[in-house]
Amino acid sequence: MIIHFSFFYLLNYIIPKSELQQINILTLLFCSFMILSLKGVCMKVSGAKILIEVLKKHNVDTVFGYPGGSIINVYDELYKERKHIKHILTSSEQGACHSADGYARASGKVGVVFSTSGPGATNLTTAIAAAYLDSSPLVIFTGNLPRNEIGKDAFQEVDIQGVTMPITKHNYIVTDIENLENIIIEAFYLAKCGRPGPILIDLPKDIQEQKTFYKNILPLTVAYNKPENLSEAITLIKKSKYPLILAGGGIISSNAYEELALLNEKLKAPVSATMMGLTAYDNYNEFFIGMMGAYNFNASNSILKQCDLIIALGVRFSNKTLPDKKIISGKIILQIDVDPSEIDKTLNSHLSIIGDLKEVLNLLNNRIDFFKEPWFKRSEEPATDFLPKQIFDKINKAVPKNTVLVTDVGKHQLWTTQYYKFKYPRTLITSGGLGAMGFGMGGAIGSCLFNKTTILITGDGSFLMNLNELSTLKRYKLKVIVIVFNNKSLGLVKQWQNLYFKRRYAYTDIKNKIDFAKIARGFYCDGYKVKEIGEFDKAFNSALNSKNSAVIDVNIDSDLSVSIGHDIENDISDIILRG
Amino acid sequence: MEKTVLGILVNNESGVLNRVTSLFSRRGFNIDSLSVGETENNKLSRITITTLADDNIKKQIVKQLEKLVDVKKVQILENQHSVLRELLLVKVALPASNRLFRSEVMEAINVFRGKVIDMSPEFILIEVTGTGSKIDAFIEYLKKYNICELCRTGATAIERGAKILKEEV
Repeated sequence: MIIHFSFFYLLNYIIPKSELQQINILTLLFCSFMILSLKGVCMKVSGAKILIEVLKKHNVDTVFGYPGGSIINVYDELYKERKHIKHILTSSEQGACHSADGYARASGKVGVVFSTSGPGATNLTTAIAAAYLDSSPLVIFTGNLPRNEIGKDAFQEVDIQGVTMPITKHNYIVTDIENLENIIIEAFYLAKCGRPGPILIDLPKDIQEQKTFYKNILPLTVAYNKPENLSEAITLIKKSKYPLILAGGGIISSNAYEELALLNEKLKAPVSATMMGLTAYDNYNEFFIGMMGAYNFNASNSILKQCDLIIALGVRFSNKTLPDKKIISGKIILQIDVDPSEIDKTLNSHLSIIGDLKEVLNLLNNRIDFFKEPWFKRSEEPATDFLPKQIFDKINKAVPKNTVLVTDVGKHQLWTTQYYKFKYPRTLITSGGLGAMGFGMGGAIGSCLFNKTTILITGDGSFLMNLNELSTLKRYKLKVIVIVFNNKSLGLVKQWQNLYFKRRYAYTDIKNKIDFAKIARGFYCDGYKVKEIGEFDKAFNSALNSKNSAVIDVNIDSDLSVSIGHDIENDISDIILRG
Repeated sequence: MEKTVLGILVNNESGVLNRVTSLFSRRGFNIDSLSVGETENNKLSRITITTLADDNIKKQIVKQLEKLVDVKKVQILENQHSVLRELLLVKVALPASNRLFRSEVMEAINVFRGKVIDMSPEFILIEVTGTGSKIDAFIEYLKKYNICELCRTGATAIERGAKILKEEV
C-alpha cells in the first residue's frame, strides 16, 4: 500500500490527470500482487506455521492427535488450515497414534500424529513401539515446555526424546528455530526411506511461537544404491530344484506385489509368507501355501523341510517365523532386503542382495529368461465345523476382495492368519512385531479413513483395552464392523496354561459380565450378540447393509484352541514359552 | 570371541553419545571401555569403544551403528595395524621418610616411562600412558604400595599407515 501511494504521488507530477485514473488502478493491482507474492518471502512466520506449511508441502491431508497446553500453538495453525488438513481427534493419544499407524499401513503414506507434552507424549509409547517393530512410517510431533524451563521437572514435562530413543527410527528435539524446517523435511524423508519407521520431533513451546523466515525448502527424494549380486542370485535360482519363496513385510513397504507375482509366473515356486507379508501374494493363487512359522498348521513347515533354496524377500526371520532354526539347516538362503543390518542378523544367508525390493525384483524379472517346473501341489483343506473357520469363510464370501481386515492380538489374530484368504496387498493390518493388544480400534479408524470397507477382528481382552475409540467412529461417521471373538478369557495365555501349567488359569479366565452390544449402542453404534454361525450370518449381513458402525459380540467356547504346526518337534514348550 | 576396537565418527551434538551407548546395551553388546572427544572438525566427534565379539557380532555391531542417523562412519581397528593408548593418573601415599619405597617407585616410573605430576612429603601423583596391558602391569606393580586414588581413561585408538577414518562425502 505504501509503495502504491508513493508511486501515485510521483505520477501526479508526471502524467496528465485523465490517464492517471487508468494507471492508478493498474499500479494498485500490480502492487497488491507484488505484496501478496512477496509476503511469504519477506514476512517472518511462527514455528507452528512453518510446521503446517511443510505438512502441506508433503501433501498431508489427514492428521491424528489430541491437543494440550504444550502444543496449543500448533493446534491454532492446524485450525486455520482445517479446509486442507483434516484432523482426527481420538479418545486418547494412544488411539491417535494407532490410528495414524493404521492409516500409514493401509495407504503407504506417512502417518502424522500430534500430542502435548508429559502424559500425552508418554501415552504414545506403545503405539510408537508397534510402528517401530513393524517398520511403519510415522512422523510424531510432541509439544514440550519452553527451552528455558526444560530439565526442571515442570508441570507435564517428560524427556520424551530419551523415552522414545529405543523405539524410534530417529528422533529430534528442536533447539533452534532455524533448524525447524530442515528437521521436519528430514523427518518425512527418514520415515519413508529404506526401511520405514516412526520419527519423533519434540517441539518446545517457545520454538512453536518464535518467528523466522519460511525458506520453502523442497522435500527430499528417496534414492537407492545399485543392487549387486544379481547374476549370482539368478544362478542360484536356476540351479535349485525345490525353491521356496518366503514373502515378508518388505514386499508391502516396497509396493512390490506386482513384481513378486510376475517373478513367480516364471519360478512356479511355492510361496509362503510371514505375518507381515501375508498380503504380499494372492492367497487364492495355487502356489500360495499359507503363513510360515509357529502357528501354521498347513503345508508350509513340511515344504520348508523339503526345499533346497529359500528366497527370503523383505523377511527378518523373527522368532515367530522361524522358531526352530534346525529345520532349515542345509538349505541355501538367498536374502533380499533394503536394510543391510537384517542380512545375517538372525541366521546366516548364503547370498544377499541389498536394495529396494521393487527395483531388485524388477531387475531379476528382466534378466530371468527361464521357466521352472512346479515341484509341489497344494492339498485341499478338509471341511470342518470349527466356528472360527466358519466365521472367516462367511466373511470371505460376503465382502469385496479389497476389504481391509484389522486385528488385535490373541487367538483371533492367529485364526485370521490361518483361515482368512487375502487377495490384495495392505488388506491385513495387524500388530505383528510388538503384538500390542488394543491396537485394533485405532488401526481400524486409520484404515477406514483411507479405505472405506474395514472390518475389525478382535477379542474380548483386546477390545476392552481401547473400546473408548468407538466414540471416534461416530464422531467422523466412519463405518467399521467390529467382530468380537468373545471367549471371556485371555485365550492364548490360557491355552499355554492349559498345555504347560497344568491348567492353573492364573488370571486368564475372566468370565466378564460385559454386554459389548450394549456398549456399542452406548456409543450410538449397532450392537449384536450371536452364539452360532446362523445368527452370525444374519447379524453380519445386517451390519454390512447398514450405514452405521456395528459391534458383533460372538460367543466363542474358550476351549477352542489355536493349532500349532505339527512338524515342530523338539523343545516345543521352550519355543512357545520363549516366543 | 576376541577383543574388538571400534572407531566411530559421529555428529558432535548432545545426545549422540547416549544414542550410541544405548544401542550397545539394547542389542546386548558389552562396552569394555569407551573414550570420546572432538576431532579436528568441530562438527564431528570420535568415539572409541572396545568390546568382546566374534565375527558375526562384529558385523552386526557395525551395521546397527551405521543405521544411526548421527553416525557418519564406523571402522573396526585391527589389532595388528592399530595403535591403542590409555592414560592413567594415580595417587600413591608415599611418605618422604620411606626412602626405599620412594626410590623403588621412582625406578618403576622410569621403567614404565611415566611422569611425576605432583610430589609432596606424603604423596606422589603419577601419569602413565600406554597400552591397556602396560597400564595393568603398572597398577599391579603399585599394589605393593599404598594406592590412594586411581583414574583411568578408556582406550583410544588409531590405525597406522595411510588408512584414515573419515566421513564419506
